[in-house]
Amino acid sequence: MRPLTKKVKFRLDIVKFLMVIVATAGLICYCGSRTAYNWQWYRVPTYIVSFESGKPVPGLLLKGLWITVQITSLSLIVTIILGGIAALFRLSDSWSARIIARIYVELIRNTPLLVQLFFIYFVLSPVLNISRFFSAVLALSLFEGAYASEIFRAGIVSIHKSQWEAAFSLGFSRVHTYRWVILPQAVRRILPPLTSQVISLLKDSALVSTIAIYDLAMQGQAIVAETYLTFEIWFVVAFIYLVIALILSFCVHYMEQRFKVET
Amino acid sequence: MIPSKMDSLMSETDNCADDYIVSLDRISKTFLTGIRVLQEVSASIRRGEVVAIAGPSGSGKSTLLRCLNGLESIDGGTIIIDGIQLTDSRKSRTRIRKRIGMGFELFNLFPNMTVLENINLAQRLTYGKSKKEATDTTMALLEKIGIDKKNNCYPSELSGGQQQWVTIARALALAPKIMLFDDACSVLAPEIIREVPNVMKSLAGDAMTMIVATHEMGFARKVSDRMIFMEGGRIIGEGPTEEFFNEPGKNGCSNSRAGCCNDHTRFIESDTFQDPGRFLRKTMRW
Repeated sequence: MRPLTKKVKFRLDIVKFLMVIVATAGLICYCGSRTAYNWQWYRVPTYIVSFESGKPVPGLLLKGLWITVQITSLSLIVTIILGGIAALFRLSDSWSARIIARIYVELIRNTPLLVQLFFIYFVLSPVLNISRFFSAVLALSLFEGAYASEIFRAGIVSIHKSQWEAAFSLGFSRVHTYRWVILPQAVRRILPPLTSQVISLLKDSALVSTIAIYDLAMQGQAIVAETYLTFEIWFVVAFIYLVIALILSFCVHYMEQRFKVET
Repeated sequence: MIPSKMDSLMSETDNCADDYIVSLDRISKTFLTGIRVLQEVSASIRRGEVVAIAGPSGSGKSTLLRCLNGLESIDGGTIIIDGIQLTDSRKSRTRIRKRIGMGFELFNLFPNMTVLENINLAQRLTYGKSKKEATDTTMALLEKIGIDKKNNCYPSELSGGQQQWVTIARALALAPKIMLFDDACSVLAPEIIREVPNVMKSLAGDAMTMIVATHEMGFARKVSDRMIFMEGGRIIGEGPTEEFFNEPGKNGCSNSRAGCCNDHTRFIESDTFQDPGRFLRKTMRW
């Protein structure tokens, strides 16, 4: 048989792609029609945005989204700080610092987030007088910080030993070497895996609904309980998470381009 | 340390400070794997001398160099550089590192900075120079080595030889008294090494001491005044380079061997150097 030309191969590839898309869409439509579910999409928009005397008023879902964004961004900041400290502890010369960081990472990584959230909210917060909102932020950042620290550590360790030696031989201190030589190079390698972690953080933030914080997921749940618009609301909620996550990905992709270093 | 002991050490240091810039006294080091990489190594190096440390791979020559500026710690013995004893304290390490520049096996430039920034950064951090002062020094150096037009290039945009020069310029910008070259022959042309003291002299008007670790005899011959031979973590011989190469008959080294030395033959690969210890015992009569 004669080998296919590049052009023919490309066209065949397009056809296969379209077939997969059509099949998937068909399956969804078929399932939707067979469930005998009464789709009421027209009721959904009021939960996103409604109009009172011409002025737009955010609906319940948008209010929930705002809480989600607040929790996620606050947790992200604390996550990066915690993760950074834990990574530096793991890489330090001090035995006790290393063991503390190790215990933190292993303990947090190997227990469910839900249990940690309950522990902080029901056990710690009454004693330390932490609000519901900050209990959630604390639990999420502790959890994601453990993962982030491993990402940071991997990024720092991946920078070749010779860079440290060159810096030391020029009389740099450890701090200066990190600041000027190691971290600028490590950032580029840290960003891609860190993006996945941030997206995890965004999605894990849905768990705070279990301690009755009215974030996006909790609002969705409340609306469903009230209106029985189960599929419509959950689809919309999922779509909003998707959009936010995609925006995050694009931001990080842009940053990656900026930090690009030729080696 | 007991004061009296300290005093004797200080006076000792003062006495030899003028002649010897590097004094090693019975330094030893054992790797965590149990390999005794340095065993009671003692050596002295005069100011302005160019010394080649030769020996097969694993003989400890690289480790010895890295111990000199504190990149590796030692288990025993004393290292005194320019009158300063190298201890575990950060202060002594920093003082010694200011006096020692190092040229690396790999080029080791910082890939996230331009050539100018690479050379400026060390001056600014280690000596606290202002940006303008640092830039002036850097540009003067780059002009000397003929790549001043590349000052805003990143290391990846330079050729291998240019990168090597920039690495050396970065070390020279700190006006070191000693330059160390680790396994220099694998990347450096002898001409470059020979040029380093001239560049330095024209900049600082100072004699530069250089220590070059290599396993290529031809290279060692071209650059050094004196050679130190190492094997299995010990110094097994030393002597002026010319004496060693120029009187092969007298020392029992045949012409063909001297010939192969000239051709940059690898120390470890040539037949003669299969057992460097035996070869040297035969040739040098110590």
